[in-house]
Amino acid sequence: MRILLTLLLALLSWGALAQTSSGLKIDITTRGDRLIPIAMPVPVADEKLRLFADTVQEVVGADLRRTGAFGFMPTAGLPALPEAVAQSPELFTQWRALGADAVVASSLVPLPDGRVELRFRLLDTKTSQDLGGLVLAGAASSLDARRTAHRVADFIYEKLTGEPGFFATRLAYVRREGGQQVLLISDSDGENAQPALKSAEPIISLTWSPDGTRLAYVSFETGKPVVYVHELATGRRSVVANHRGSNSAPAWSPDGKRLAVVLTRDGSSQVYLANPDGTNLKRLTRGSSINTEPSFSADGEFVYFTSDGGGSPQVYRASVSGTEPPQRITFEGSFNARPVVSPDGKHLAYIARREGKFVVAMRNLTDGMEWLVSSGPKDDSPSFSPSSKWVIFSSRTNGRDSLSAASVDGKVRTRISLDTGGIRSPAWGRLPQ
Amino acid sequence: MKMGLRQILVSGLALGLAACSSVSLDENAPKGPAPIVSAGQPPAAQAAKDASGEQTSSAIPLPKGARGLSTVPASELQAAGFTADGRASVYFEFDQSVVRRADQPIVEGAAALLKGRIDLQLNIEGNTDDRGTSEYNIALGQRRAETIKRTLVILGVDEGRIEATSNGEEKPRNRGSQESDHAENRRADLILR
Repeated sequence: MRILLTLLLALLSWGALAQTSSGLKIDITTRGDRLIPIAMPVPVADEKLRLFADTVQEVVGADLRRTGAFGFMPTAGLPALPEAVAQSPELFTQWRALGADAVVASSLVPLPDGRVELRFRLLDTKTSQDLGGLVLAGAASSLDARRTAHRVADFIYEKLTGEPGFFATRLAYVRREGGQQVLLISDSDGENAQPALKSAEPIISLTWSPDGTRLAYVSFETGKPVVYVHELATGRRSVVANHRGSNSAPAWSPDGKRLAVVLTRDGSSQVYLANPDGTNLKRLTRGSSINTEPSFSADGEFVYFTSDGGGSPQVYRASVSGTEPPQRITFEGSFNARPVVSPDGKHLAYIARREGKFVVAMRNLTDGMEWLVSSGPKDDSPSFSPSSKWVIFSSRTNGRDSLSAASVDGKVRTRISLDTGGIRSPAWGRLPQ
Repeated sequence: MKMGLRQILVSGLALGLAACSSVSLDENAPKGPAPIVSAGQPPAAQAAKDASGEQTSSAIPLPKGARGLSTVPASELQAAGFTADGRASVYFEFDQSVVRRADQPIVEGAAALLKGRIDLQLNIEGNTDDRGTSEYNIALGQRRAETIKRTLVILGVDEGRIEATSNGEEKPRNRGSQESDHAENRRADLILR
């Protein structure tokens, strides 16, 4: 009971902290069934590093809490736990008694060159095991404190769940600010948002190159949809597809060497494959029905897409080599569209109309099982985390656009709200390698 | 402790230059803020032509010496169902791209104007309501625009004078969520130039 109360207080206090920061706000709306309590008291050698330490603690706690799998204990009243602590059986017993299933032993010290070094080890109090640690160095800035924290949270998440973390990743999305559309790149928690493109016209269908250096998207800046590739480090943009009619729905091949795009130069919307500079164009889909919203399979051999050739929009799969006829994938209901394959190739997310609402559906590509991970009423643009465990998507409620995320199993659902304006077209990308 | 962009950039550089035994944070992170681009700036590698060498500018160029819409009296436009600035709209049922009987005079009026005035060009922009996905709606808006384009070609207009494009659900005339609002957004705009 006492542990439960501590956890509740911890959750409440982190909730309060999340409310005070600006930009995107990410809150859990549904939680999974188990919470692993974790403690991370960061001893500070130099009082000037107090803010850095507080930021690391706050961000690690917020990251882990957002997964719905972890509780993060308040540090007030907890014993100091330096990284080099002697790992005696008594130590594990002590922390187990305090209610922590895992505890982070850490040290934060200034380096002679002015940078800050965080050393930490993750200790499992239930098995009395040292799960390893990292040494991270960065500038004494809030930006690097946040980056440090995301790396710590990724480490903890991976060691305790066996799955790769997703905190040191980036989001791209479009925010409507008055009459302007702004393409923003932020950290996975919505902080540190940087504009990459501003336009008076719509920008949609953002998608990251697999190496995390470029975005492909559709911009209406010339008066009609045109596909661009935007290199983020330089701001350099190139036109991939600007043909007669509309150009849209870019999707990268897993090796980043090909883009699928949808062109209408022969009348109806059809999927084409091109190099990222627009050359070597090859038509993939045939016929006169709508064929759009391509997404490559993880092995790059197939393209999933939406077609209304069977009378209603449904998801199909075509082989890139053209050796097999397209195969229909979805059969439930009268609208299944915007398929996207998880990076690990195991799942397909798409937008399904169920009981009049547009929701995110998930399908196991091995056994064909389908389940819903959102409740609508107007969800769109699903995008997987680099770890393939989460999906982010846009939600429109009463004309207001916001972002939401859900775990692939649908157990954890989070709402990502915003202080001003509507946001859409999310794309989840990894950091450049 | 709010950091200015310059400070972040400087600290990012310092981080990159310093040799260290521990894991440097920015080995995987972008170095400093990326440049902001304003749409409308010509992209560095802006393709005036596509890979096949086809002209790909977003608007069909008017013939040399053509003065387009400015030569057409407002009365002639209005008689054909267009506004004085050369615009008309055709509306559609949900998920449909068939021109309703009531709107057919607009398409016929456009055909008559285009055939009678060789200077004129026509852009057709298809639009949808916001039900469904944004990209499927681009395709649906395109089909609406193409339906009108094909009808005009059958009525004798040269295909090269018409460009059909789609705004999908991206440029709603009405942002409401009632059926009457949706109906206003399910349309194709015919824009003479």
